[in-house]
Amino acid sequence: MSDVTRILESIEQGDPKAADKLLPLVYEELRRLAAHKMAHEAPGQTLQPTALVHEAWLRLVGDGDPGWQNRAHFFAAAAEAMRRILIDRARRKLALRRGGGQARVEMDETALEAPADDEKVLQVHDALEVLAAEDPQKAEIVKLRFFGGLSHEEIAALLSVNEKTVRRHWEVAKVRLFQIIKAAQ
Amino acid sequence: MESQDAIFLTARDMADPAERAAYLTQACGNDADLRQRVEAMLRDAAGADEFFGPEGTVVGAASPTEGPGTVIGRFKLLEKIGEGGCGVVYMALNKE
Repeated sequence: MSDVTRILESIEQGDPKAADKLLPLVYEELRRLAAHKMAHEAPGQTLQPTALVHEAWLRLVGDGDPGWQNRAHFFAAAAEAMRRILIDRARRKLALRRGGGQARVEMDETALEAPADDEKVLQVHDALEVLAAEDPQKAEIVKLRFFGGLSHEEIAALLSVNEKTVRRHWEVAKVRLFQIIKAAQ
Repeated sequence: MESQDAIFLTARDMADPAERAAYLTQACGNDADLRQRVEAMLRDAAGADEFFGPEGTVVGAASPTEGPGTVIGRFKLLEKIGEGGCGVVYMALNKE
């Protein structure tokens, strides 16, 4: 039995400390997978949170079916871990683009990839905190979708609500986040 | 009374402006604040769709980790010479 499977079972049995152990393990695995992908793929390759999260699930938990509640704990941790990885990465890249001291040359903005997307990751991250205060369930759905790359169907199963509800929350949450981001500019 | 979310979602699917306005009048009743909030959401819906894209995930947002050998514009990164709170510093070759 893998460490993660064991932790998931402890969470299931109500061990309050078990959940704290899950996030670092999932985070490490995702970070490792992301770094490995980046090192072996052609330049211009992008990170696909959906693929990474599902690959991490297979590697850490395996093919067995540990039950939907365990899946829920795992994917919630994975979305949170993915969010941290993407935020760190976006911050690092934006810092790099702005230059880190030394004798520096102005770089052509367009030469560095997807600056808009890095800004976007950080904007959504900030706006999500505002949304979480207004409506925690919508914020959770956005995190699972935007950062975890989960489908509406998967999110519905994780949160024990129907898919239509997830879809409706998502449609409204997108507009609210867009408004929050617009207001912050 | 219907919730703000429900009114927004129903109104958004109405293509005919007159039909939409009539629905809003009926659904929001005398609540002018509610109507204003729903109308603001309707105005921002297209922008939100564009911002989030069809998938709505961050897919494609993160590009490769920089490292020695990475080419950025006319610079080729040679070796990492420092790292600090605000970034990583590389010695680079200016190819021009």
